[in-house]
Amino acid sequence: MNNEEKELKIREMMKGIRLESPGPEFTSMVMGAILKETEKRPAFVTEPLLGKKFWILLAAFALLALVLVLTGSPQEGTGFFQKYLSGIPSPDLRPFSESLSSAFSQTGSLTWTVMLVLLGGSGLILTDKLLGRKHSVSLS
Amino acid sequence: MVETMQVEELQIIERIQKGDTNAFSFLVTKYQDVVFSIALKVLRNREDAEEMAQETFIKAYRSLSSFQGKSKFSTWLFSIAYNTCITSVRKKKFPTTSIDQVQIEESDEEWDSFGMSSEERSRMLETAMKQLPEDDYMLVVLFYYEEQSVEEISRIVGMSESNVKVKLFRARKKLYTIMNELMKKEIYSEP
Repeated sequence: MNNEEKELKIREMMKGIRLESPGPEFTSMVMGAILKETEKRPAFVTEPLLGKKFWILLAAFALLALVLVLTGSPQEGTGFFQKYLSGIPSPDLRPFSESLSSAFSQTGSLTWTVMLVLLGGSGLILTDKLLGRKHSVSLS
Repeated sequence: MVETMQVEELQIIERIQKGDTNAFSFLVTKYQDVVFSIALKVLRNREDAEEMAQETFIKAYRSLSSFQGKSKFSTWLFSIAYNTCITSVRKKKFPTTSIDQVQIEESDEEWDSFGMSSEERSRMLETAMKQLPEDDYMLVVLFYYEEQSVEEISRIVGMSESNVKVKLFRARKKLYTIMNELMKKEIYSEP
């Protein structure tokens, strides 16, 4: 008798065996515990990770970027900017740009890569905190 | 047939995931004996085994949202049962059966059940299985009774496929050894 035949023979005999069973109330006990738990919290809430607001904002940014790309840039004085924004007085951004350039000159010893890594890391931590707060799941 | 059962199970799981909690009772009823008998073999106490089996099903229900149907539901459930068993054993420090308690005879490659009815053979197999060490019992139940493949068992118990094959081969030999012993006793005890 080869291996396969031996296995088939045992499987055949197995069909007639009875395994140990738990008490007759087992299923209702399990279901009772589960139903009690689901009363406390909804069973499976499928909430999208990225909400509606996020997609609206993203679409708005994408649209804005598209408009800017299609109509040129403010420095060139063409398209969208010249047409619609030429009448609006431009804000005085000199103090801001001065402090920004002084900040950059102070951190000049740091390489761009380090700065990008720090910025990216901070962004990731912030995102994780925000998402974790909103979508935490209790496993207790 | 097996595929139809799997499709039926997937439909039930889908219903549960959509909020029909009561549909889970079908899965509990279907698998309670396998989960309970493995737990009983490991814990050797009906009360503890029922508690462990209950814990297994509750854990399975809680994690059902993460079940993607990539494996059979039974394979997934048995891996939860196995891990719950291991945790329970570690917590309560149950002594495990030594493999040497059943001495494998080299000749016991087969079992001559000539003259026995299929019911008698099954009863004898039941008795023999009770004498198997717990790890062998688990492998025999999963492979022969539940018809899980070697690959699926390797996923459940976290062993390599070749290791599972070797252990299954040894478990089958032990089973034959015990059954041959039982046969001898039966023959000599007959009036």
